[in-house]
Amino acid sequence: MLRNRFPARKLLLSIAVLGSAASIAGLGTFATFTSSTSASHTIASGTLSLTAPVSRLGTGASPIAAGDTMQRAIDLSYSGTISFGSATLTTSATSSSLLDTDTTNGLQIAIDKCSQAWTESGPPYTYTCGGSTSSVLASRALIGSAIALSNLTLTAGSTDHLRVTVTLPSSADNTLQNKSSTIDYTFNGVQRAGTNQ
Amino acid sequence: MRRHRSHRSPDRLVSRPALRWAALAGAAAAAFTATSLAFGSFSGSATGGPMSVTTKRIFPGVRSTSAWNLKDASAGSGEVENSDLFLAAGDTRIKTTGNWTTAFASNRWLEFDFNASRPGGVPVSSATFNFSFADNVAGNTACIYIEVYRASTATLLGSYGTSAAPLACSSSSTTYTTINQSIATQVASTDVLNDLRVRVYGKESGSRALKLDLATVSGATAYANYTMYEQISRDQSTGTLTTTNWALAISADNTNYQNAANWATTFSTTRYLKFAFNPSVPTGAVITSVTLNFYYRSNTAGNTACWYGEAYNGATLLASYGSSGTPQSCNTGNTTYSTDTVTMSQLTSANDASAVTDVNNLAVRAYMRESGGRRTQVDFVQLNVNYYLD
Repeated sequence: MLRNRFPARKLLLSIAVLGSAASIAGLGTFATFTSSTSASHTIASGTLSLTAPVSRLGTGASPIAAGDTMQRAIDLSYSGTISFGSATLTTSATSSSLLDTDTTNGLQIAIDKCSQAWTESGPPYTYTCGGSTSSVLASRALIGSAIALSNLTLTAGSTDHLRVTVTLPSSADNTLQNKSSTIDYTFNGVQRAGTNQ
Repeated sequence: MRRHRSHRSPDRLVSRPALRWAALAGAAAAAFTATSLAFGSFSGSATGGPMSVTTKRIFPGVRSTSAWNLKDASAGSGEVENSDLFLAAGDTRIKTTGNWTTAFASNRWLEFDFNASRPGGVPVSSATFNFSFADNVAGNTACIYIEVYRASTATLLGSYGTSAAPLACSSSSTTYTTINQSIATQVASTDVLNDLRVRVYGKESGSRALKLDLATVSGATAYANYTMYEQISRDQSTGTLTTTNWALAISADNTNYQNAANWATTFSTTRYLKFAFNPSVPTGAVITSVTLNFYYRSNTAGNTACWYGEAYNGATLLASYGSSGTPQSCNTGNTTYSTDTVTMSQLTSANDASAVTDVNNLAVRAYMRESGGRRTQVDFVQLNVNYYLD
């Protein structure tokens, strides 16, 4: 019976040692912006920033009917010394109704990108693209978290010209009459993947 | 078996609990460090909005209502009231049922199916069933109770009164008893209102008939008051069903309205049928289109009937459709109805600043002539109003 105590203790000690070792190894593996060498060169981390210098997303619409669409432009500008690697959109309703909770017949969102600034007319706002267009987000329910966006430039120093189209589908029935929602939009960008420097 | 937990080995430098804590701490540190680094990257965000979106109070749509109010001036000597029998109380237009039994029976009733003329999805308040009746025999007593149904599914929604405790009784053959029974519990939206049936069970102390003067449903939405009129009535007072459609409400139902007197062979401004609709369009609504269905034919084989129309708000002529010189249409024979749809663009909001008022008070005169100086049959008269409310 006494023999059994020693393997157990060894096992616990081993876990402790391995855990600590893994922690240290992990630190070494992921430490992109630090240096453990004694060389004299300087390592400085970069910066990145995502802003929306142009945005019509604060312009609401009332009253709308089934089949109505709302086009709103927003520019996403990337600045700093590091480019973004990906971007997502999170939308939330600060004032909610069936318009944002009915994922089928409620409000839908789609996003297109123009290779140059959209030409705006209105209000009510509509936009035409003098360059080429590409889809950033295919039509889907308006509310979502970390919705992946595609075809964005994301390069530091560049700007993506986006047109957000919010639609109340023609299938919206009378239960969606006399409803009101307020929507917040947050675009999140994450840095590019780490590379050899 | 004896346990040795309390036995401390001489070579043990660290206690067992300490070892356990050390192991847990090491593992946690590793996990924390790895996780922190895995998710630790630079990021940025930009916000937009808030964007407020509000929908119309009433979506655009066509709401149709039949002409329950009908005045017949075909004789050329003034208007004769020929409206739906159940339209109003005290109008001398009544229906006499078949003979009832002295006790309520599950197979002896009247039914009223109401028209579907309201925009759907709108909350309704104070829905009330208005019913006026009297005994057909002096000295006898008639009693009723009612049940409320969804017409499309025949689903019972509720009842008022019972066979043991009737909702109302009448012991007069001359003075009508009128009930205004709230059915608000069952009718909370226009979706139910547009699909409504009321069944009336009856009994009569001498196994005789009842006289009916009124059967409507009235109430209000946040935007307009309304009155619903029956388009189908069923009389099963005798135990055998008789169904009667309001003559103008449903097309091709083998029910039509034959005017009271023969037409002349030429048009006359004193010879017409006059229809009113009560569409209850809300104040502030935008009317985008108005059409009138008018289906008719001669009552006599081989003869030709023609008509033209005028739209009025009271005594004010709003628009004409055809004329005595150029009829809106003509139709020969009495086997096929002319199915006219008249566009009344003068009554849209784009063309009429008082469109809502004019449509709500609209009366259409149909002037007719018949090649043989005979009567006509009118199968269907319906007003279709496309509107929305911001």
